[in-house]
Amino acid sequence: MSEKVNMDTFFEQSLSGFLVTGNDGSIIHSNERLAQWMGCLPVDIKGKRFADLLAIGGKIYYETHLAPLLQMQGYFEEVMIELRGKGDIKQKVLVNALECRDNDGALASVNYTLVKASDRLQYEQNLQEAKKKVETELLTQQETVKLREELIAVLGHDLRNPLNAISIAGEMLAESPLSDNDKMLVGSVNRSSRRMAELIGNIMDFARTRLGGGMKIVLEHVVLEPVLRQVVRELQLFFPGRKIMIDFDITEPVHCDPHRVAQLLSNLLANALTHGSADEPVMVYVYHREGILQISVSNKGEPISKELQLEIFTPFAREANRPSQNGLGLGLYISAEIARAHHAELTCVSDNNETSFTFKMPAG
Amino acid sequence: MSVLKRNNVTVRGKGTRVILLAHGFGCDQHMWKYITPAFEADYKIVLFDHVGAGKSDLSAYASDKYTKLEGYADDIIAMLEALHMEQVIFVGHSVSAMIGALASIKAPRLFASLIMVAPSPCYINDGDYIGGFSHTQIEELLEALDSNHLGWSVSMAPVIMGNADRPELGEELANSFCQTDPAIAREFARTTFLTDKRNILSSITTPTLILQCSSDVIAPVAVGEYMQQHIPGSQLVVMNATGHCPNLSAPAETIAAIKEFLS
Repeated sequence: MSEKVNMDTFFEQSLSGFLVTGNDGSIIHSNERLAQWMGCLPVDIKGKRFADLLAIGGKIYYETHLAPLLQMQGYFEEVMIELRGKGDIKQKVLVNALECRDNDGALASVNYTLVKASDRLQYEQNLQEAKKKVETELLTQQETVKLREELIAVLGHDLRNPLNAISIAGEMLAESPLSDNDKMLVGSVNRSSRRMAELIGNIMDFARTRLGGGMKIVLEHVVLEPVLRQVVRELQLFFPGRKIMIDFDITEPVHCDPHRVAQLLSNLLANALTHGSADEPVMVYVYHREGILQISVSNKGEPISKELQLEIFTPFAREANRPSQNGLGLGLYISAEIARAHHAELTCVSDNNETSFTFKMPAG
Repeated sequence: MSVLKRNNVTVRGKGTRVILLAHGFGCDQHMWKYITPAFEADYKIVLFDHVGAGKSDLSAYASDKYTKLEGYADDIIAMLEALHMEQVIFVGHSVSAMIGALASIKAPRLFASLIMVAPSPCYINDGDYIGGFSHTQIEELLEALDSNHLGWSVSMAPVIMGNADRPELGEELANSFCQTDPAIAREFARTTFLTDKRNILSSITTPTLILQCSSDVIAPVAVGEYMQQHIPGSQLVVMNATGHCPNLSAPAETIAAIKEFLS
């Protein structure tokens, strides 16, 4: 078998369509595969132009886009186009075309290679549909999430007013002459309403952070120590039987949002008092040294499981096997958001020795 | 934004007479690159991209303006006024031939002559008039445009794959073709192929040359003959060139025909 025979066989017996046009754009050769797609014989195609093989849209696309590209660039590649044969036979193909020029640079021929694209088109359509479906689902879910967060914000806001009435009444009652038993009951009402106000505050912060794209803070130059001592004093009042040890080394003013930093300490300290060992003191350690403000809160007792440590700063995170004792699991998420807004870091270390949360902020 | 920036106008060449070249649907000013060198020594050459094509300001595209050829014609007048040019030789390819004709009727003093390359006043057959496309074909085209199963932009490779990793397409040319916004291309196609401006041909007063290719799917020779009969004093040259873009496929023949007309 000579090489010539091989090439002829290759040209004719192929799953690809081959086509050659002359320098005037008319078809000189085409193979049987192409003719089969067109529903005719190769001889029927001879003398036609490539655009004649296409449906109307393809014809115009070819003449206005592809032919100019071919003439200016010398080739085009991977173009999907629809052949339109006898009796409206349709076949989607991918086309490559290459100009061949003679030694003088004059156009000699254009070689076209066509590959059937039906499967690929199907594949592509499936991908497009899958993409569309996912996009729709995502949109629905985003809307649901947004609605839920808006609901939370509205609910939180509306709960505040009746709670305020309870708190004020409770505080007024506490100042009246009461029996010991009533004093205990009023104390319980006041502690509970304070805790509830805190929870509502957390919920609203959470909703605001999620809806508004992060926590908003108001920075000021502030002497932080009295603010933080006040937080400790308040919590000591609510946990009268517990020992809180403090170590403050902070004299210079710090650039931060004092209300938010106080909120962070309040969250960390309340957690330590709630979850830590009741027999041992909770340590609060605050220092401002070498441009770093550090606030640490440590407690003894059961360590936080490794699994929970990984997601402790995400909303609603809590021990799976331990029902909520006191909260929604938003406090640490909000503390972490406060840290983020201050370009600070909030970390957790917990082992059999102790559990400790540390806020570390660059503070000039 | 200035008109000249909006339409990415470039001016080059020597000489006092001005040739303004307007590209047709699907291309941009690059399509004149084989023609302009032959005129640069003797003429000032003005090239531009229609709004929506090439490196024009896409944000200037407004459907209500550009779904009529008059919108494009007004841009040509605005460009010439901004350049303080009058009596220019207008060369328009394909749909731009009719855009130039509209501009010349509105502002005749701006134009010395019109050279129409592969023009057509109406692409649809209508009674005795042969535009090249039947109603059924045009309906099919419109359907194809709506379902967007044609590229119309150069989505050379399928959309999903993207072209970002195709360095060889990063050339100037492929880039400019890729810059066709598919939505704009669809509207421009609709505007172009639904156009019927046969009624303005007799109002053209500027001397006109019609260059028709001998085998053009989009604008058959019969269209050229029709135009020659209806544009007063016009000349028709049917070239040996085939296809719809003789300025690319047969630049020498195209240049010769233009020079002959201008001399």
